[in-house]
Amino acid sequence: MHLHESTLDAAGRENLGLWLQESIAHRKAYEQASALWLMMGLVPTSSELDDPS
Amino acid sequence: MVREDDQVLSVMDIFITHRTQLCQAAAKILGSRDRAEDVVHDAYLKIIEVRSSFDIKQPVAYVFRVVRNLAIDHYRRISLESTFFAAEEEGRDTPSSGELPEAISINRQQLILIARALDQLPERTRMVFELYRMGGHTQREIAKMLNVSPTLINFMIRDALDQCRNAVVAH
Repeated sequence: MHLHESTLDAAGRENLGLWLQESIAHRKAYEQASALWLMMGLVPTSSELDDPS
Repeated sequence: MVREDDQVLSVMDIFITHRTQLCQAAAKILGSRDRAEDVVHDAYLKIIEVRSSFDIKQPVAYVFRVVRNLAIDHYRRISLESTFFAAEEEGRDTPSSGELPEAISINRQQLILIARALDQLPERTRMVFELYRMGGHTQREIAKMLNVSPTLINFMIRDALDQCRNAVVAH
């Protein structure tokens, strides 16, 4: 979730980068989180589902 | 209900009609015209893929919003990758090198499960989540907008993420 905060700073990114390098399992977890994040973003918002007024 | 062919056509129409503005919106976030075009193209492919799963009444607003979201995601990914590869070059522990996954395929069934999970959230949690994911606001900004504590916002967003993850995993 933290990658999606625009406040994630250089240190935060470095930590995440190092974590991703630690193991394939970490990368897999990252991949799954990314897929979830993407799909959540493709769900229309309530206002996009509303009839134009 | 609109036929799938008509939907593809209308999505294409939107991308053709608003192409310049869509690229500008993405370029503003990415700082690069080339990357902006890639993101707009990627958004087109993804929207074509998911369009028929939803009855979207404001397709233009939806297209612009998804392009902005994907541009933000792309921007963050680039920042992360530069750190990732910089660390790798320094020769730290690297059990295996390789790129971060970029091409994520969309599973329509999972998408429906996620949409349903979001629908079942308490109204306020859903609103907070939409501001965060779709609106591109930070948790701190949302806390300010709604005049509640950042801790509460963080809790609500975690709840939304957990519910969606569980919906996909449980299936």
